[in-house]
Amino acid sequence: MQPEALRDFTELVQQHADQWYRVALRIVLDHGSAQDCVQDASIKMWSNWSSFRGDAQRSTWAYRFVVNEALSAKRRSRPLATTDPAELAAVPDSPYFEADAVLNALYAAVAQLPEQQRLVFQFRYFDELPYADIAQILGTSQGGLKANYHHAVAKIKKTMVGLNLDLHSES
Amino acid sequence: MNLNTAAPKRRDGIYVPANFASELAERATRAAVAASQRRVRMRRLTWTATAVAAVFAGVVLNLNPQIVPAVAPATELTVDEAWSALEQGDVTLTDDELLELAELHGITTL
Repeated sequence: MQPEALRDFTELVQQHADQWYRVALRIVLDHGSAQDCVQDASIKMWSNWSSFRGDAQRSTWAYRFVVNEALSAKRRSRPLATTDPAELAAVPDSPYFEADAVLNALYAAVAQLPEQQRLVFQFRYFDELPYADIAQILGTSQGGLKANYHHAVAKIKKTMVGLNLDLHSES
Repeated sequence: MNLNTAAPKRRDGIYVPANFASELAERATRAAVAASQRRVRMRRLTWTATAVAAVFAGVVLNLNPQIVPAVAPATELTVDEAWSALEQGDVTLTDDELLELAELHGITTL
């Protein structure tokens, strides 16, 4: 592999590792697993580095590896009946996570969503990513994403309305 | 001097300190490069092993051609054997085949 490629890869990882950790943590809800996901995703990114076709930004392309790795890790580790308090609460178990009652309730509401809606909501609301980027990451159409986001927000509002909490919404 | 290395909290409540992010990035890069080097080494080893095995097999076969698996010789059947098989009913021929066979061997009576 060319030294420039290694330099670009190293730069990409340095720039985005915190964001990848955040994305992975929200999916796997575990500090250690999130780090493993970032590492495993990086290994796959580097081994596929030359196959990047350039039809998206490198960073968007890289996100896909992290999301796929985290979803796979979550499926692999899903227990039949969990007793892990963090998982029951559906909030990340990490020293770098802090939440008040509103955020805890939001995480609990997000956990009730179907996977696609949950991911779209997280990318849109938490990361404020444009639909075009989310569409590239998840490999779906922007129209579908907007519909998913709309449904997600409606469901979350419905869940949280009893708690008299408010969310920034967007249609 | 700003000594605060903690990143600002985001909407998701996750704040990633800069030193943790940088360590994570370093570890991930190292793991990726190491895995890639392992793959290259494995590929080289496999190729070398295959090449050595091929050369060894070539040398052995050259020095000792008897160990080449013999091709089974085609089964040869004498006319008498074929005839007795036919007489014993081990072989069934149609009338046309029988006539053709008789014609071929100049047999006029069956």
